[in-house]
Amino acid sequence: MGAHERSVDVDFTVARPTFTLGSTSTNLNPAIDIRGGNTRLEFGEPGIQTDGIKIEAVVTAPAAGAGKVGFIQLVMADRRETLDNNDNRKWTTDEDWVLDDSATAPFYFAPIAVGVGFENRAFPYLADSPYNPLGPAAEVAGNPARKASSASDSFIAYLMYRPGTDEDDCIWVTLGIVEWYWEADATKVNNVWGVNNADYPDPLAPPPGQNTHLLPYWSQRITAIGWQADD
Amino acid sequence: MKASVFCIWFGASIVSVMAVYGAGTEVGEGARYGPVTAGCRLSMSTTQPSFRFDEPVRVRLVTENLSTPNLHVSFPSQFAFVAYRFDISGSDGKPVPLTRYGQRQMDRAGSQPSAAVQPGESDVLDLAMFNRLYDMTIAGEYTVTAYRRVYPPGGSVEVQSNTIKIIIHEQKATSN
Repeated sequence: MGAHERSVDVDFTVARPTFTLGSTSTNLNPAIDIRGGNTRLEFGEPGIQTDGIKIEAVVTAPAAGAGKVGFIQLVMADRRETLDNNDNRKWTTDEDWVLDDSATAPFYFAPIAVGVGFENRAFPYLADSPYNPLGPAAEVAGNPARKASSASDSFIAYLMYRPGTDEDDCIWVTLGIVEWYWEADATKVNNVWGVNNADYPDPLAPPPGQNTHLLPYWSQRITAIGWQADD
Repeated sequence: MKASVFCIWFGASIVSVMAVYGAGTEVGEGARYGPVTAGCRLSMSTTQPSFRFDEPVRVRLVTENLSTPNLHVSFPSQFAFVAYRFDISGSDGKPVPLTRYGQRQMDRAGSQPSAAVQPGESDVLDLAMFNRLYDMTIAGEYTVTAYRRVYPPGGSVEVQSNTIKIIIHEQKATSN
């Protein structure tokens, strides 16, 4: 019996929201510093224009495209530290992208509604000031102090959109992404913490929004990560 | 008052708020809030004044912004245990230690989401099992005060809650 080949051409009209997506880096100087009364090595600090990074979007839904928008953030984290007892520890995703977890997971904050048209546009945002703890290691017997700490993290924030209501059979799709990072290391000398090296997005050229349809993929949640021995 | 309310079971899922808060025996002059600091105040309460040793101790923390525009908080309504500091002592007056789980939470590294709480708004956190964080396995009376760092424009300041007593019974618990 001979095989039959059939083909069909279909044109889809995709009614995609229009959006702007961008970021601002902290206006604190130094951007990365020892904060919280010597308890944190921190990029930025929560507050207006002081968050380490603030990613903002303006989304306008097309006709019949009312729905929700929100951010999902993935992180590839590598934190290291040395305790006063000379134990080395690491808190790392092992070069894997994992979900930056929250109570509204997978979303960083709860998604917000976007209506149709300019007057019903939505303003989702994501504000983050990542940090390393510098106080006594609470989880280690005897709670030894820390004397060295470093961070080298990369992040991808995904701006997501889903038309319809929670009851509709619709899926989340990606509108755009912002990639950002922070790196720093600090040591404690004579009981005084100091930052040795720091790298972060230039406030004058903050990470731009990028148009993409690629969906976020993660292997696990960041809350599954804990400090472990770094032999 | 606009309030965002989440009930968080650590490491598990979000559940809707079913419990009624407002209990917990007040210490001092019966204040339901701590002192106003930077235009905001912090309230701590429980669902009932006493708990059986094997019951989850539910604690609600409400950060209310009375007057400061663009007051920011970190970990808004999220895994926010690390955003708070607790002074907790037992019947003997000695500090109560964190559990191993609580220690792990305190040592967390990672992201620090923040959001603005405008005047008239509150940020609400429900800790569904406070006794998973602190060792309250011994029956007795626990005295608890919470502190939270908030970020008004231009800096940060720590806000203190009211102080409450939580009673842990070996057997039957009282309820409202």
